[in-house]
Amino acid sequence: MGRENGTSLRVAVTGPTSEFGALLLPRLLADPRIGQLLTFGPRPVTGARLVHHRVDLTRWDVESELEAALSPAPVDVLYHLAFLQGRTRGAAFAHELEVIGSLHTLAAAVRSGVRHVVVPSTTVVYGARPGNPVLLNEDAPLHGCPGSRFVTDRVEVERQLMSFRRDHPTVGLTVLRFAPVLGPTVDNPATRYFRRPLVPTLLGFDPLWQAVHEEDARELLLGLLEAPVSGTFNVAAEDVLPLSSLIRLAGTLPLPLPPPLARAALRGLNGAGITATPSALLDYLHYSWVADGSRARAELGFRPRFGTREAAASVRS
Amino acid sequence: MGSRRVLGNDPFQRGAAERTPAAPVPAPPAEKAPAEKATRAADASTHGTPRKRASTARSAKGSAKHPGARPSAKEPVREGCSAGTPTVAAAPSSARRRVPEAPQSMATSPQVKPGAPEPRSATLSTPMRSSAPEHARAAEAAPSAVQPTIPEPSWPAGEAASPARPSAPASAPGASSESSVPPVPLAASVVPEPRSPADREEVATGSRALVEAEQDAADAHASHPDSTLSWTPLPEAVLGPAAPPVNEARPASGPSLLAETLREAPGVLAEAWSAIEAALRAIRAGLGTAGGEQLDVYGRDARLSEAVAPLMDFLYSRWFRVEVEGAARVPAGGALLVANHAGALPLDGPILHEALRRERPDLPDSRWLAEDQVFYAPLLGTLFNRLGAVRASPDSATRLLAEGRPVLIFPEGIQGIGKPFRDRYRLQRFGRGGFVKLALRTGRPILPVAIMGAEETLPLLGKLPGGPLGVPYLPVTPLPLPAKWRIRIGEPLQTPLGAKETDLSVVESLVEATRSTIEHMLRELLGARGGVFSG
Repeated sequence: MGRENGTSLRVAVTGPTSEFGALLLPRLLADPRIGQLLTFGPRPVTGARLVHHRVDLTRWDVESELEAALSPAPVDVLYHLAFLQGRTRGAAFAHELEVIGSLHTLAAAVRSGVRHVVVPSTTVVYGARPGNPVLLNEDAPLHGCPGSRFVTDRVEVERQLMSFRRDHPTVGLTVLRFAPVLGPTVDNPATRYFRRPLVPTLLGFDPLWQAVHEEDARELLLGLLEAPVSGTFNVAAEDVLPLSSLIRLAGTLPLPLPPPLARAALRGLNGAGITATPSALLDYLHYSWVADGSRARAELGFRPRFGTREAAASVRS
Repeated sequence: MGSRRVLGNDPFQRGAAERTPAAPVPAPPAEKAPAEKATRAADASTHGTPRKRASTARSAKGSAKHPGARPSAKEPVREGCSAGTPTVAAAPSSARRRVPEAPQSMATSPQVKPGAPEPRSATLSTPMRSSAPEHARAAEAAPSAVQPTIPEPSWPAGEAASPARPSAPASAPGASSESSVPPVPLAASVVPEPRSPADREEVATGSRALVEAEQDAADAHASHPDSTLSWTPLPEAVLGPAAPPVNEARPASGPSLLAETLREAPGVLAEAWSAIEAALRAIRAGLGTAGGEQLDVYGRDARLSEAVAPLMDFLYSRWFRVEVEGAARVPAGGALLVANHAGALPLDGPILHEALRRERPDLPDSRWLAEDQVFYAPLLGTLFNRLGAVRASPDSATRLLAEGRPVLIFPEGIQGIGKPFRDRYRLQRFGRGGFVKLALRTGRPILPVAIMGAEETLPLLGKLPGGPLGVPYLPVTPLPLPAKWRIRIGEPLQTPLGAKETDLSVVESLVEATRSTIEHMLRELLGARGGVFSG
């Protein structure tokens, strides 16, 4: 029983090889507070005090598998990190994993008596829209990006989490909406974008961006191990920078394209099957979508060590 | 409306647009350059060229008098170039002997042909005002860069051997005529390059000189027709060794009016020059490639504002000659400044912002709210955002007011800037009264503001479809005309005690009160105006 007998926590992680999983797992393995670590994922991971369960979150019967694995003793914190970060093996698979996988995981968590669930989300769920306020707070509507299945899936996960919070008030739930997580090791759409030799941008536009360094993201996730706080929080560094500055800091060059040309070119490339990036995602290069991180600072005590500037510069190495 | 009556003194209405001093603005450099080439080829001593010679000579002398103060500290490379080249050209033999002393690159480069570099300096000096700093720098650099050649005894011989170095006013053009073939390709290679100083200053001439400096120079020259003669040694000053003694001799002989212009010219040029630089920086920011590392959450880039300051200074105090009344009425702790909106491109936002920055440095930096059509216009919207525009939305405005900032609001929105020129100073619908609701909710006062001059600065002459660019239309408008701007900030509006933003009739009446106050102030300003451009 977790914290009652000593300091050993029972912690579960879905998606240990995902972006956040890879970020978090080494630290979880080294953490002396953790008595047992359960991992659920398609690829095996090993470590002391680690029990890996090979599961496929997209299977219809995965819920009972998860429940069986989680049940013997209540899990203190479940990190649900099984998200694809845009590296799709097909949009349908991504949808199954992110949306249906979350559904299964949350259901299993309720049934097995998990005390607290932590789910990383992203600020892209707010959508990049002309009508955005200067700073989007956590109560802003989640417009997402209707043209992008990746973003739409994440918005759908957010909706599930909201109803989960409403239906199961006894289970703690922390949703962290991360600004683009940048760093030397993470691999997500944002870092892939900034690691291009020529980064396409929209000529005549330079929206405000913010980011969070992978170290800060990791520390915040680890900080939720003990005495986790429920709620939804934007997680971002304190400074904002124009996109062109981030590109420069990341050590690459912007390739400004006239917006109509960029959209037409992307549509053409998608149509030819060369790329699979919906042209609707160009909105994020067009309009600002800056989240207000003050709630995380006030309630989670989030004190990022790195600014957006340092985070962008760290992509370079 | 009665606006016809008030606008009786409007030159546009009297069909006097051709008198507009700014109409020919972009023209002069383009027209004069070819004209001058012809003049130079035929007879350089006739009208036009000597005047330019005189002005360049004066500035050359001006900076020679103050060797420490150069017109601009830019491009030391060119400096060495223009100073070193003529030396080599004038005395090829001595220069070749002098290789270790002369700048290596100049002396050994394949370009060193007798004659070729000299026309280059002549071509550089072709656009009228553009040459002044070049020559000034050359004259400045001459003593240091070319000093070693002075004691060379063969120098005078070399100089004498070069065909034209007469004492006639045509000396510089003569120098270029001494090899008539090279100037063309050289000029072609120098002028179109956008980064070359000659070109940039040519632009400066186009936008600026017209008003003051050129007139001064022209007047000065007209009143002293013989002045060119007293400046004849200029080419030598430009070309090298003989410069220092000549420069020393000159100040005494210069007429006082010329000396005055001379002191003036480099400063004005430097100012125009930095304004051009600022404009280029602004365009880069607008294109979205400039970066910027010190932004606030609203997107204002403090460093960019600093960089653009010379241009803003120029527009504010010289081009528009903005006068502000009632700035003292703006209270601390946040206020809504509600103004009329005008001009094909909404310059009134940045100018009103600048006015508050200058008149009320004690207040926190103000921000102006921009309608979506402007805020998300490519280039313009991006640039405005970096300079202090905030997308108009109640949350943003509330946040700004909570920070104690004056918030500049143009309730007419796109209607105000999209009205045809014939409807100038006719207030359009004041939105849906969002500013009143905001004021009632936050308890901050509404100050009506009338801005005169923005309408004539950028008259909207037509609209082109702007669909592909994502804007409602592309305005057809000239470059900003130098209309005189007057900004009047009125008394805070009286709001009924305990009024709620949900009370639509109160909101409605306050909107109307604001509108009629602004209209009244505009009438007063327009009635007192002497002329659109003279104010």
